[in-house]
Amino acid sequence: MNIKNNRLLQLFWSFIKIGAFTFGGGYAMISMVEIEVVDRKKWITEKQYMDMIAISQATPGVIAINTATYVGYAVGGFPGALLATLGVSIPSFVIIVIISFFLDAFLALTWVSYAFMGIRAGVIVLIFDAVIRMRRSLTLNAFNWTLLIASFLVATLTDISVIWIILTGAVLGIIWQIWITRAYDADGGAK
Amino acid sequence: MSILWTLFAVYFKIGLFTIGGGYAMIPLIQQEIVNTYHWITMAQFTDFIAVAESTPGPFAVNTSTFVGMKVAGLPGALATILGVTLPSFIIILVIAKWMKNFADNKYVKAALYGMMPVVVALILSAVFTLFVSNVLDTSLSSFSLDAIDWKAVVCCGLAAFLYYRFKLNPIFLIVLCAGLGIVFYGLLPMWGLWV
Repeated sequence: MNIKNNRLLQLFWSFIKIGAFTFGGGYAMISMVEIEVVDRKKWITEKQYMDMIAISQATPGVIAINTATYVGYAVGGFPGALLATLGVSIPSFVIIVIISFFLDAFLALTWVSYAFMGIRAGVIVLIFDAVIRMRRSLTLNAFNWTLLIASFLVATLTDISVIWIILTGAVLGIIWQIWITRAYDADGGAK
Repeated sequence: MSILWTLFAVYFKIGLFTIGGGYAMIPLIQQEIVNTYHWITMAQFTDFIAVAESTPGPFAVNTSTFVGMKVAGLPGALATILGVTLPSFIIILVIAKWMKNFADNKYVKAALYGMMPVVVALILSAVFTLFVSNVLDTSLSSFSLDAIDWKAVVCCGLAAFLYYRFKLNPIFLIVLCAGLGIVFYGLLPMWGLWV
């Protein structure tokens, strides 16, 4: 087997490990990938990785998959992208498929159903905490606050599609940043 | 239209409009999977989130696999996982090959600037709906204090207190909340204390 194929296999294996041992969603995965791909294997540099993360966060799609596809492509072209994406998804997929066979029977047990009544409260707290953390990363001004409150009200009180609300946010962002505050005119970067 | 194609198409849409971490999917799932297609209930989805949090791997992959399995078994799971990953895969390949300075484009930056507060608001709205459906018996036609499940309110309050007071790891929190559920819904009624 030549070295290139070997590297693709290593890439696949690295992402299987990342998929199998990352708890806590896409943001936790960012540091796992960094340790494996930048620090241990040295396939890409820290700077390259930071750029990839910025793009993964700025593009539509699930961050974990964006990051895996991007790193895979940088290391091994299209086959690399495919193998990294497959690698990161396979462990979860297999684990969840196995759990699904038992979950309904498991949840039907009376005491387990009691436990899940409590677990739902924990899930609500976890999601609420994620909202708080995301909110902290926003620079809050009148524009942001208005948009945040208005979207909350529209999403909670009407049946308007979530997708339209997101797209409206994008359009308003462009109108505000480019035509009203002209945020990027001076240096071409963020203010 | 076959169910597999619908699963794929709905998850493709969800993947395409997930901006930010996996939790950004929750409002979309609530709207599409729970309210439009009635594939699962809100309570089932909350249980899935708990399992997804306690198992390794990306949240998006875990929850999509679950819903796919629930609706159409293994072929369903393959349809949802393909649907949710394909938008990312295509978009990132296009950017990596032809648009390396995508993230520096001022229109992209400005659009994101407007989308981020919206995404935060949407997740907040989703968790608010989740909370209301958890503590209120929404089958009653009019609101009354009897419709409130006070045990659920106490569980949420205790969970929040323990999580923030002791900076718990999410899996610990879920295990602890399982204990709270057993105490409030199982043991206390059994001892005749809070039926």
